[in-house]
Amino acid sequence: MELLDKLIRPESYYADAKEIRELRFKAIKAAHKYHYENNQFYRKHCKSKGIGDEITKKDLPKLLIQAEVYKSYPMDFPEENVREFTNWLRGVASIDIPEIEGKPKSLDDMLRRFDMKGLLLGFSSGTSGRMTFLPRDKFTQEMLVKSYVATVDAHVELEKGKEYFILGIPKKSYLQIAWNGRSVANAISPGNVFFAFEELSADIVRIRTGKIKNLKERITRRLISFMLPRVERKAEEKLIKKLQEFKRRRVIFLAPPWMIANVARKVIEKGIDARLKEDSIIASTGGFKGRKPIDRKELNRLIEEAFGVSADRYVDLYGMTESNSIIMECFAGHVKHFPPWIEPILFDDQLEPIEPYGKTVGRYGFIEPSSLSFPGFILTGDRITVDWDGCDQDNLNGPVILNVERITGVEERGCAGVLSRTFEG
Amino acid sequence: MILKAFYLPPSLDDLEEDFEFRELEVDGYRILYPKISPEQMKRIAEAIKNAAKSIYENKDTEYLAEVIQKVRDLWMNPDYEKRKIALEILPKLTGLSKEVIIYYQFGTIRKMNKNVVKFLSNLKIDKKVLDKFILLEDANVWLRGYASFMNKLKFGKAIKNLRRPKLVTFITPSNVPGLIEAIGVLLSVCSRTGMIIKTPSKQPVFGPVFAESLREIDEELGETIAVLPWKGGDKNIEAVLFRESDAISVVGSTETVLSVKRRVDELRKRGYRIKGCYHGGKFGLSVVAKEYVRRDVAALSVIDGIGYEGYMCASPAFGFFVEDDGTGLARKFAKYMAEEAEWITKIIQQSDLFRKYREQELQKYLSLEAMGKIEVFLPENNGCAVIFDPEPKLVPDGQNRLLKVYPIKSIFDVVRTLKPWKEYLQTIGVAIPNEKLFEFADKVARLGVSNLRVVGTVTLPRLGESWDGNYPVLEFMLDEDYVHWISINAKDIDAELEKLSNNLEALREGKLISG
Repeated sequence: MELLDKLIRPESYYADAKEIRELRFKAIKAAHKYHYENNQFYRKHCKSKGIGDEITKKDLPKLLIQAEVYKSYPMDFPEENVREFTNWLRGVASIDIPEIEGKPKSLDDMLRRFDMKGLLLGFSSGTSGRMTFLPRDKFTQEMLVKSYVATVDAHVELEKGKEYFILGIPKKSYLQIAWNGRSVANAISPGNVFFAFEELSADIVRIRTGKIKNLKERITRRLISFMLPRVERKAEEKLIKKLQEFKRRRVIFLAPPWMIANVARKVIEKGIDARLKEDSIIASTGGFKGRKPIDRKELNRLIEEAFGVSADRYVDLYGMTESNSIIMECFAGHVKHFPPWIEPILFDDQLEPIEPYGKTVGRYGFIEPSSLSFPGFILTGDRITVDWDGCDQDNLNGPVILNVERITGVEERGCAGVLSRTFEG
Repeated sequence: MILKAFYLPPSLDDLEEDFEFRELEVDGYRILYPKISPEQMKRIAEAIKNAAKSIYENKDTEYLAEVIQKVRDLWMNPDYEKRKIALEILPKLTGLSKEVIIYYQFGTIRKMNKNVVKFLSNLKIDKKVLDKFILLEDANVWLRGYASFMNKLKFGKAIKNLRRPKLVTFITPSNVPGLIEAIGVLLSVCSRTGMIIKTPSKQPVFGPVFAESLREIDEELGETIAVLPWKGGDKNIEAVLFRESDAISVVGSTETVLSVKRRVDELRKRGYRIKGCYHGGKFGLSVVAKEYVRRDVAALSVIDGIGYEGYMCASPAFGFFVEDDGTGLARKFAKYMAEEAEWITKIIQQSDLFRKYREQELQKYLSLEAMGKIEVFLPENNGCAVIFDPEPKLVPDGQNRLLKVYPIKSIFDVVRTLKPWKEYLQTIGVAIPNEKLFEFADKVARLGVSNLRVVGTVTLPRLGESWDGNYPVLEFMLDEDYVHWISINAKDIDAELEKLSNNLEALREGKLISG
């Protein structure tokens, strides 16, 4: 705990690199030992690689768990077999998983019941509709918020309690990106948060991505297809209205990049005055999954023209359901800095770790010690380009990400992917 | 050292000067890939056709059998230079270990002897084979053909008018590095036809060196074959080559096979008399009757499961289905497999690459084990993983030495579950008593299975067996496939198992000689 407190704070971004590395490894060692002792799946995973409860730095690449593990439950509809789903969770989690009573009415109802017992089951979904569920207890939830806030604080000075957030995400949803956005915004400025969508249930996401239970859901899917473009349009109109309301004021506007672009285009086309105060922040997350990508230069132009905010104040964020942290672009160099509490590891096509020197491209794996409820030792399906020498535009330490892409053949997923696919007409 | 990713008949040496090349460097080897133009391909095809016609006229079967025997002997000699090169380069190109290549690939080449050539060259089909299993003594194989009444009549007529192809295009896959190219050379000689073998781009070197061995033994026969790499689906090249061919045999993924089939069908509509021989992606399984829940059978099953790291069409990717009378026989078999795998995987080693693939896949199963759904047995050396899943299911993910064992009440229970996978069935490994074997074979043949192989030989095809429901050599000579063939690769299961079990002792001593 003490180690995490020392590590997860904005100052770590500026601290001596060697000191941070050592601190991080100590925290990872402790996290490994904890998960080894408390997680049956992880223990056997380690044993299958000849690793015990003590590790050396050399062992780190071997610890990683494929992100797919968190969608390996043996049923299509967890809410219909809660007992078995709970058993599965118990196998992959490192904490006690509470029992929930009664039969849930829906998937969302099941998630709500777990939430009421103190367990957040944030979800994301791939193109197949099979959802990833990550269990987070209160401590891990707190760590996530602490980590996000520390990253934001390291990059930009915020007036806590006075900032206003305009978010292109749902207010009520167990979609992890929505939970993260809501929790972090409320931690920074409680109450000063506007949401473009009211609610996005897990059942709607499942049905929309094609995992259908029966004829009723088939019909529902058609209805959703018909309704969602309208919901998306309405959300964009609400965002425009809110941005108009806050013209000449400082806001933090966060949304998936395609939504920022749609809103900006409409503002420009309709000649709406939604020019914000120059020091506002526009942030995107999740990429263009499933939608036609927009060139960064074009997006910068749209943002400058529509909101009167310099492209320097627009940053992209990179996060994932399995991670307790967000990787944020710096304002100076517009490259994404790894939070110092994350140990990034890149792998080549043969799954060999790549030496962390210069610029390298590889499959992204990471270790973060801040997750108590599951091992935050994840091998993702993303291929990233990393500059291990960091960024010379500012004094934030550590390696930076220059590019992120999905590895071909790995299911397209991610929270913003869910938003993108769910609302696409 | 330079390695050519092609082989041309000696009389076409001048063509090589006109080729444009691209190079690939692999650990000290420079692999030269030629870029072939449609005109050059036409010249190669014509030259081979003409050469094959005249050269085979003057060579009798006895002689051809001796040639293949000598080629086989060269490759069985550990000091043979080409073998040494193959064993250095193939692991680098394919990720398979040297031991896997020696045991499985060279194990099949070892069977390419003079008797096989004589057998395949003088194929005699007994009409009764369309009604019952007939033992082909020379091949040690039971064979039966299935056809409708009309097709039986058509087959009877067609077999009297077999045509000898002048040129066969033989497209080979990358999952079994060089095995299919070697079989191509054998089939070319047995069917006395010219052959152009297309190698997979990932591994283009074995085919050329093997063809050079044929040329070493008989310079003239070296005129009847070319081995070339080109990008699969290159319409310019393939348009020329396919028109020149009498048969096109394609062994590869379902996509590759369908793509070739589309083009062959088009050409046939336009009047070209081309026979398409299609061998697409398949998945296998093994069925073990309760009488054979034994340690030696478990060891032989491990040998099947790790062959080509589970990527051969025949590989038991669906798993091992073990008859269980309710006393835990299947679980016991899984435990035996894990225990036997301990020593087998030390001798037939796995490369790091495939081990990592398994470790990735294993995580999903470990999560199911943690919830008590399945059991995962890991040998001390982590050389493989044996999963015992009490709920049988057909999921074709048993690659990379992830061996899955399921209990079944009766060996016949597995039959009806196979139906949804009909299109992808080829081989079933069997340890089934002789008295139940033919009934079982009859049932699965009707679902599309074409090969039953005794456990321990599942990834070690014997030449003389059916292949995806067709019969080698014969399939080049028939215009249509009227019959679905199924073979059982052992005259007597018990005798075969005894022989294979005895072979295990040699393997235990480190001798990589397969059964």
